[in-house]
Amino acid sequence: MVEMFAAENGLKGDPRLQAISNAIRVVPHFPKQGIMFQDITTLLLDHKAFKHTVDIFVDRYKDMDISVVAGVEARGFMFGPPIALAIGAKFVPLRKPRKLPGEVIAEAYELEYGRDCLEMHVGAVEAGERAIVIDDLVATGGTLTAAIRLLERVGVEVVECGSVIGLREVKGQRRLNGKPLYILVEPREIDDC
Amino acid sequence: MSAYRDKDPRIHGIQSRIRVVPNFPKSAGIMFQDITTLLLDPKAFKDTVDLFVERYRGKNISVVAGIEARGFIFGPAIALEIGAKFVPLRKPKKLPGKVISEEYELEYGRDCLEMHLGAVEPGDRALVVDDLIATGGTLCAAMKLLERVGADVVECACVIELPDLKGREQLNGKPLYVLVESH
Repeated sequence: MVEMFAAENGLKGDPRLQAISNAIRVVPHFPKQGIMFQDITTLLLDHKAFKHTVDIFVDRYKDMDISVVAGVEARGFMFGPPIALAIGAKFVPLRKPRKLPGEVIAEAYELEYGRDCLEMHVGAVEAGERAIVIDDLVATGGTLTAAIRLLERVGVEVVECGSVIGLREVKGQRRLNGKPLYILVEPREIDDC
Repeated sequence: MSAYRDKDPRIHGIQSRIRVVPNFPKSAGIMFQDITTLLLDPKAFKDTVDLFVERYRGKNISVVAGIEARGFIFGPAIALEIGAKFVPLRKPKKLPGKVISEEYELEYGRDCLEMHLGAVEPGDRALVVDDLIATGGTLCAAMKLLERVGADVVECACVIELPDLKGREQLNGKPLYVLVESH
């Protein structure tokens, strides 16, 4: 199985998952009409739930010989570093163009309308390192796929992607080119809040 | 106030992992202090966070506010260790829902920082965290946002200070704690 929800993979009934889900706020019609935005800032205000979030990822990855935690700007910067610190890995920020100083490699990716681009420092990671990529939410997987490509281009093995929130994979659509994806909770409905 | 002067043995490792990149973002003699190399050294990164945690643990800090984006790399780890909320202070239109904004001056033009309404409550004791203080404009805007909602800004905390730019003087008398200085 490529896509794993925590509740179905070892953490069934774990009350921490409910606490994490309850701490997420849905903001309707942001950034545009029709989008029910999953706001994790309320999770960051709930110290216990934020700690549970990090602890679950740390417990999963600490014995997997991971030397790199990559996080996508900007919300990936809030979850990735605490995980990296706890498992003794490097943290590698993946950024929008022209933010990283010095030599970078870039990977373009598709948005709903148009394209965007992710950059990583040359020399941040070495061939043969084992990496995870962490983000707050995965939808189509476009951003995470670009992140995986950046790491693989320099010879890193991406072991898994971890996301706090994730939609269920649409049948027939393969996200992340088959890389394993571990998701803590599904998106909240507006009526839940 | 600087740990550098206190000569904590961890400071040397931290300072040596910071990379200086000349002429970034623009040529004109700017020597950019790049903390990403610090993040590649797990021990030095942990030492950085530990130095802040040791200072602020047990001081009843309820809010760590971090400035987008590099403040997000250090702030949450500190907040988690000291039992505080983490509050991201962001560029305009990034935060969903109701926000308050504070404008501030750049060398050319103005910029703006936003904070969620309701994230911080009156009486919250807050830290503001960023990777670096230069002129102090951004930190000052951050402090104002917190004070406008009735929080008590206890201290500003940065990994690096550029003392020649006198940012410390822009903080309306609020204390500043830094780990390393760069001239």
